[in-house]
Amino acid sequence: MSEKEKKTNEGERKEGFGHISRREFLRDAGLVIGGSTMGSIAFASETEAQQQVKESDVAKDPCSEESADITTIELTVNGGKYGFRVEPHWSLRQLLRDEIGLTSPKDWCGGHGACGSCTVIMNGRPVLSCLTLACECDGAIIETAEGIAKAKHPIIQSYIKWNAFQCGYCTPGFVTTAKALLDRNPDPTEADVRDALAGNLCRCGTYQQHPPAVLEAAEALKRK
Amino acid sequence: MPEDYKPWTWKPPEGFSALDHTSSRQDAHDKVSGQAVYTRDLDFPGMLYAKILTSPYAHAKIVSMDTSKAEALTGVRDILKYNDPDIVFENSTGGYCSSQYNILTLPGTSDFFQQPMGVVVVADSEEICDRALRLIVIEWEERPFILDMEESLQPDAPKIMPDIVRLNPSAKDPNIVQTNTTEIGDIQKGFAEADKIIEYTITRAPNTTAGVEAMACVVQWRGDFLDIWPHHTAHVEPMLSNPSLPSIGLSFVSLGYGSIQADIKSPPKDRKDPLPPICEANKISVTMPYQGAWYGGIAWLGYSTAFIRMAAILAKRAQNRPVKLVYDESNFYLTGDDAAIYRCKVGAKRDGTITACDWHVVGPFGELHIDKTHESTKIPNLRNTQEWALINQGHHICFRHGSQCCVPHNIMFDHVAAEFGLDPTEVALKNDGCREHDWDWITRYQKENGFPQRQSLREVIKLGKEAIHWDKKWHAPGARKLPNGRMHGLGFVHINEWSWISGRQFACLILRDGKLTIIGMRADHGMDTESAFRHSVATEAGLRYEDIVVQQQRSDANTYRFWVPGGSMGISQNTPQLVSAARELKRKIIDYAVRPASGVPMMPGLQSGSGQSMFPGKKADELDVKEGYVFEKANPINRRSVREVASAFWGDDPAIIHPTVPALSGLTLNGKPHPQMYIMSRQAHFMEVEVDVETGEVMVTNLVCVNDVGHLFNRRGAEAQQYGGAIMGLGRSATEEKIYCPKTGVGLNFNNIGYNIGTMNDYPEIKCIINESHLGYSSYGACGVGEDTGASLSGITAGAVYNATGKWVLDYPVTPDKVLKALGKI
Repeated sequence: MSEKEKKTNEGERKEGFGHISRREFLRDAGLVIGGSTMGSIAFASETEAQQQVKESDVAKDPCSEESADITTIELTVNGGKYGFRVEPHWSLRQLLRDEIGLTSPKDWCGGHGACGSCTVIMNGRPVLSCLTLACECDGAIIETAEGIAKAKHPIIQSYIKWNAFQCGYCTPGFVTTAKALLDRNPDPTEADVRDALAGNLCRCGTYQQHPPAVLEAAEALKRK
Repeated sequence: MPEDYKPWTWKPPEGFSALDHTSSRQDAHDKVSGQAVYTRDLDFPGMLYAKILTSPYAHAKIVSMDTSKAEALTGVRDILKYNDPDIVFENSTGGYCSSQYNILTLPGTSDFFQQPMGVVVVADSEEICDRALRLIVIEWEERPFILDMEESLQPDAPKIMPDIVRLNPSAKDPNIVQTNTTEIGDIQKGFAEADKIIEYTITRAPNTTAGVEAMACVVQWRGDFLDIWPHHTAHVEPMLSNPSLPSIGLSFVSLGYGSIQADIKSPPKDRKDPLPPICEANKISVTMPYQGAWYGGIAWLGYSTAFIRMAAILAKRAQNRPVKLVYDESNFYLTGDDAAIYRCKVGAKRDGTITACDWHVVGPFGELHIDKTHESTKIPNLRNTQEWALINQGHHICFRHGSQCCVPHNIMFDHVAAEFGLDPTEVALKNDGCREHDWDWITRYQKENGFPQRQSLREVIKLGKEAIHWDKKWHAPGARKLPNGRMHGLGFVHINEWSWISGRQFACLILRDGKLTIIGMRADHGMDTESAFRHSVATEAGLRYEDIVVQQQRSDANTYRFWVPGGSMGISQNTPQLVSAARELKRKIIDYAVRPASGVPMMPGLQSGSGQSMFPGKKADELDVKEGYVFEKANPINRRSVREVASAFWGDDPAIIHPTVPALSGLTLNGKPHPQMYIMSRQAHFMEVEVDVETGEVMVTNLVCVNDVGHLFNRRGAEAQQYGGAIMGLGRSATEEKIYCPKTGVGLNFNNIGYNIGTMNDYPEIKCIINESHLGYSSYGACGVGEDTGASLSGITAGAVYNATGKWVLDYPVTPDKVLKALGKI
């Protein structure tokens, strides 16, 4: 490495980047709606994925006229009806945060679908909103942690009771994933809970508080 | 305040027990419902966004930069380059790393992969920032890089960070930050007394800061006034307002201790004139939003402070529009826990008594690597030789974080036990002590200074062994094969608990309408010291927990100091002030309850003006306050609410209390002044594993954490530090590692997929046991419990694998490939 070498980042861009758009990549990888698949993304494809996502951003300038492939969508978020004209590269997370002003879909992993912090419920399934394109959400019914709390779902109180959070940054992702589990399986085992939540990472290490919280919420739902 | 200030001798009020305390956190609903607003969530009208270039090279200089295309992009509002007059002055004033050197705010040369450097773009959105950064054409000059510290220590190594200002007098060209040797006792004498001398080498790979919310901060100028919404615990006012700061270190300022450690002997080079303040101290306001986790590897402090300074400069140029400076997920890989090589030599007797230990460490220096061994044993002879050189891997520096001390400490006990066929818990007890003193000596110290006569280590080991059934399960190395074909192993680590009281901060309590507000600013990233604060003030002042909240206070300079963030130090550092304040408040309430009320009503609606006492004929010592009521002790039915009493005097003498606390005083030994403090509380952790000898996988099947917290304020908070710390420690011990390409210096796994963070299915339920010995120096004998569990568990895997297989794997993280290699399978 002692030899001095001059490069331009412009040159490197030409050498290193491919020509698959973010949207195409997501479709090809089958990750557009993939909340429960996030834990199974192969490491080998990740670096490529990152590069391709970055390349798509380079290839399609969001501010240029070429990107004016606007889609009109209507969706329901936490019971409210919304209509948007969305750019083709917008993620659902971007829509929820920047356009609707919700704070619960969080960004930890930088949009790689690797942490679960942005999980929302879409048409009854937990999805990673960072890997879900907004333009494909036309007609979707979305639930976020804010909506789950507003509906007074017992998962909220049981998470509080069991202290299933510390810094709280990843918590809304756990809450939505857990609520989706209870929607489809009202009587889960602890193993079911652990499997359902295994795609959600927590840096405070609160993992062991979540199964009892979810199981208690399940019991509360049965009593309703 | 009494002259003899000994908070550990204070007795908690009757009924104060956190053992079964399950009061809910005040931040609970916000966080669980997703409505908690973190710095990264802030969105203000007219806000601009700023992003910094990150280096694609491990070491490269910007030769030229063409920003014309980026400038032409719609929505770009400003571009600040490394050589701009507004920023060039800031070089060498960025952040502070472990008192040894300053990192740079916006350098023109990258020192490691993904270093924030070169140029920052301000635009209408993050997206436009990203696009603009990609449109900037940069001509780079790649420079030689070094990833191996031993290579960097060589006198003929290329100089790899020429712009870094190294402050230590022992710093040497080309790359040495520090070299020194510290010896306690007589190391050669210690080895001569040993029956056996054991030598081994430990290596630790770098791992990341355990963070979830990448750096962000929002800054807005209002004329000469500066409003800041920072990320994390940076104490920003001194950084921005102190003109002498560029010539001194920042150290604890960033942690919130409020002190500035001068190093005026080593002023930054290339500066003759002092840096003018960015803003006068009394015009700075700080609001602290919620903070995402950011644990371990304290070098982030440098970046958090550097970011704020950068944002303030950008906001100034933005002419009163708020600017949000954000960093992407690569931020987590800038900093972290240090890599190191430890060449260890230990002398011990056959009964397990350690006579000498000698560490030769190549790695970043946070504290002496023998510090905690010295603090928590009677070992009389210790030596630490330190060699630290810069490498192009970012700034993996931490001080008082502890892994760098805990790992060699516990491996030493494992080795001595293995060498003589002893139980490591017995070896630990054999050597228990404080700073060369044995426990008999410590017992005398305890008696004289008002501590209970207890041996914490004996207590925590007993509790842990019982919980994991140690005596039943312990076996010789490699001796127990399970029916499933795996090998069974037990691991054990122990060390002292963390911080004791240091003081400096003060509390502000405001009681109005029977509701109490604790005012203080701290960057809470989840440790929930708030509940402990509320609980201690409630019981001391006689109020209801539910009637107390903690509020962040917009800060004008140093009016309300930042409190330490929590975890390892929050409770021990802050409760003495809170308890003192609460006691003063209670005295004030009772005093006014027996005093004739003012004859002149101060405000409509207040009950003053009657001219009579609320408890006619009663003296202060006849009254008490509990659960929000002032009452006559002999006749509890005779009571008035605190609201009534306090409201009556609010207009004349508002119930605002903010005492400071003095430095510790009154410690003696043999009747003579003895200022030395000894860390007498201990922690012990026990792990059960199954090792698959075909795959090398190490499965944790059982984990017991026992922490002696001295006095427990908040059970749920303490347990959260235990299980949370345990998972962090196990990550450092067995899975987490930053991997660099040896040919390019580029990080290969710098994302949440490639970097192995454990999930819910990777760990068993962790049994958390709390011991209360009251041997800490803080209120009621409390001490810290936070990051120490994570630090001490950072080395636990090797001992467990040795017990399972009879093979040492001392290369952290202990991954399956290394286990297989030790087993001779690959």
